[in-house]
Amino acid sequence: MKRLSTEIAIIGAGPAGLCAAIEASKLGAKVTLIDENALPGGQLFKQIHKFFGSKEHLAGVRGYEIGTRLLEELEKSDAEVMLSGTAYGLFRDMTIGVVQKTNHYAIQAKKIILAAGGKENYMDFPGSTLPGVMGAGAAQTMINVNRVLPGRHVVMLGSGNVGLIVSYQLMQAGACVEALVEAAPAIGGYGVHAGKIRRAGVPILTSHTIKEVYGDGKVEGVIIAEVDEKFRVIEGTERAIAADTVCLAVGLNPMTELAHMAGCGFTFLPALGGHVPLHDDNMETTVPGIYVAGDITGVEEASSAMEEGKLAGIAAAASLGYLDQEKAKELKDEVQVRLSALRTGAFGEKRQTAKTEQMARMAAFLQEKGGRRP
Amino acid sequence: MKKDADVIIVGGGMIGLSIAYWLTKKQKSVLVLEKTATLAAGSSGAGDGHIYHNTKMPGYHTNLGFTGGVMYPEILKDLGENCGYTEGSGSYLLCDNEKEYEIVAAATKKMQESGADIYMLTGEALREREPYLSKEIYAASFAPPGGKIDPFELVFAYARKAQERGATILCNAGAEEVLIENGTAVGVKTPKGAFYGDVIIDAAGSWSAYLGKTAGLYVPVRPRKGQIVVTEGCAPMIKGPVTTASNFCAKLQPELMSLFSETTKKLGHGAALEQTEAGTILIGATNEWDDFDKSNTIEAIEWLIAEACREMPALRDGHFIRSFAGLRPFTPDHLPIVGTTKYLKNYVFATGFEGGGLSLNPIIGKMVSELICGEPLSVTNEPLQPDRLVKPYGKATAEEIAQNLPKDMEAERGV
Repeated sequence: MKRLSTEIAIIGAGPAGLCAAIEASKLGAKVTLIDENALPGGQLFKQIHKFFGSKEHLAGVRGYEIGTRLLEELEKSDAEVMLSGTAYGLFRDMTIGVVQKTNHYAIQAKKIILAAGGKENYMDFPGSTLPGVMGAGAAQTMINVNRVLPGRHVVMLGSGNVGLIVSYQLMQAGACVEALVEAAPAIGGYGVHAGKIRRAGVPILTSHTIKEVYGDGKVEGVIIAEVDEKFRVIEGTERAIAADTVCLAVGLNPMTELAHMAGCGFTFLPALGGHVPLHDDNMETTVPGIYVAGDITGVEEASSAMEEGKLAGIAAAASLGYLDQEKAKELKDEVQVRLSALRTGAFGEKRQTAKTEQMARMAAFLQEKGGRRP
Repeated sequence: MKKDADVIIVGGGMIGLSIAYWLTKKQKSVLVLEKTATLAAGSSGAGDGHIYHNTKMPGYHTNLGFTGGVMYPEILKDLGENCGYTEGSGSYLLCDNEKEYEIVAAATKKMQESGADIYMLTGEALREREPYLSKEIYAASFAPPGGKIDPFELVFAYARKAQERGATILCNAGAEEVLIENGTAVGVKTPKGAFYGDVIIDAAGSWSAYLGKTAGLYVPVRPRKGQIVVTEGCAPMIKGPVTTASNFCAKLQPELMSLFSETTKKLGHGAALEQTEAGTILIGATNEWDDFDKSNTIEAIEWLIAEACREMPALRDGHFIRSFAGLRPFTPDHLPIVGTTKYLKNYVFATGFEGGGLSLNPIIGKMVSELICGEPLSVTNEPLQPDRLVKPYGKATAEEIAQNLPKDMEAERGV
């Protein structure tokens, strides 16, 4: 085992981690950015769609282009990047255990920013383990990053933005989306995305679910059925759709294992994907020196992950003395304005409410501890 | 004075609950007080599942383990649950070289002479039984009655049975103080109020030193940390629990310690392996002095995985998915503390089992219930008599106190 040390260690080189690394490094801190993948960028490189928001949020720019810009900035910075490195644990004295191929490292940091992202929810039904059943995000990685078509005939479950966008991209990649199945009575995602796939002739079956996936050693078809208002299958409504691929777009949840291991305080907020770490407006958790940014703090979009990353990067660098409080406040306020703007509208407001609640609970925690982290 | 139960047991682990099981069987009313929110939260919930017979001291201690281990079939029948019990897989102690073989063989011979069902196997005979073990392993001692049981399930099964027979179990009720009147233990103060009974039992494991202090007693039980690493679920690879002999050999011949690497000295043990019903393999546990700290360390994880891969080379292709740590209640002479004390009336000890709780708890529960009910003991507790180690707190030296009550009570308040 090799011992290394750094000032700010960032775990996860997706949108949040990249932005944190770039900001902190720009401000002068010694940064080590760790990612388990062979390439940095996280989800950005599979997002071939244009982003929403305003000009500051890079609206109209496609995800992978944003990724490319960030990697160029990272390249110019002094941040050290450790790829194919799995951060498997957080230990005493702010030390991270990292396995990189056959090497084992103990990396001690003054500050740690956790930007591990989120992971896809799974659904259990007969046949759910057959080859050909996969997360919609996995299918998206296959087509947009690895350029491999997972199958020709796809049934998508879930009509949130992920389900809608990935359905469209699967069609662009040459697959036929046989149906998009949604248990709720209405489509979950943006109308603009739903419109695109409806115009292409894909049936969107609301109040439906997957009852079973069948096939001999691989997916050969899907039995779908209508559900009542309590999401119970209505007997007699079953029908089969021939398919070789089933994609599950049934939400994401934060990858919080490292925050748990570090002893961070948590709270339960379903609007953010479940159990999320408490954090303040510096993105600092209940454990002094451990920050969070991006989906790990609650599942949102890449745009807000990037802003949270910047916030954490600035705050961590400021706490190390790389800029004075006044300057730090100025920079953080700019980010906060952009962040709030992203949390507006029908979808954003729910998250804004949950985020406000998350920070209120953090404040309550600190107050209980006499205003200081234990 | 009000009376809440005939017997109050401090500690909701396998020892406390085994005693509760036996006492309620004999129609005693029992109150169990547990500090945390759940049972099996201390050593019982942080160990592996070995019913292990090969590393106790030859003679009385070893025999006590065998006696306890073979009680499971009948107890589990009474509990109406199986608790992941595996009978007859046997337990193994692996010798890496001739030197370890000599020490283990001599100890094993002593165990046989006092009647224990244990014998030596050559490396070849060992691998015939456990083909995944490394060809480098020289020999092993083998105890056919050894086996495995799920400690969580056992504790909760004991608890359900005891409750069925009228026992009360209170969680979040840590003992803050043993209440004493006229040199007699009469009750226990907790955040949920004071409770009174005819007998108070210390089944507090690693926290016994602190409980003892509130009763004016010096109880030399120290927490000894054990870290465990867990693999992903694997196909059946190993039937019995196995442990390497280095620690046992060093216990019998302390001069051997000088041959160990600094890491091994600090972490103190070869890795034991055990495969659970679910297929995960538990690798552990270390033997460390780290006060009441229960965190994992990078050094130990690396060392345990390396040891495990050395013992069972096929593990090199496996994934290690989890780690945890717990505290064993260690005593200076490696023997538990069980029985009454002349320094405090109506106070009974059942603590200091270190890593032996799973093989010992059946017989200890029975023994303590016999002691309290005034029945003749099925097995003598003579070598376990508390007063060989326990003394009035005022008689303990500063050095002893510093070692056994390692930090301010604040963090460990409530046992």
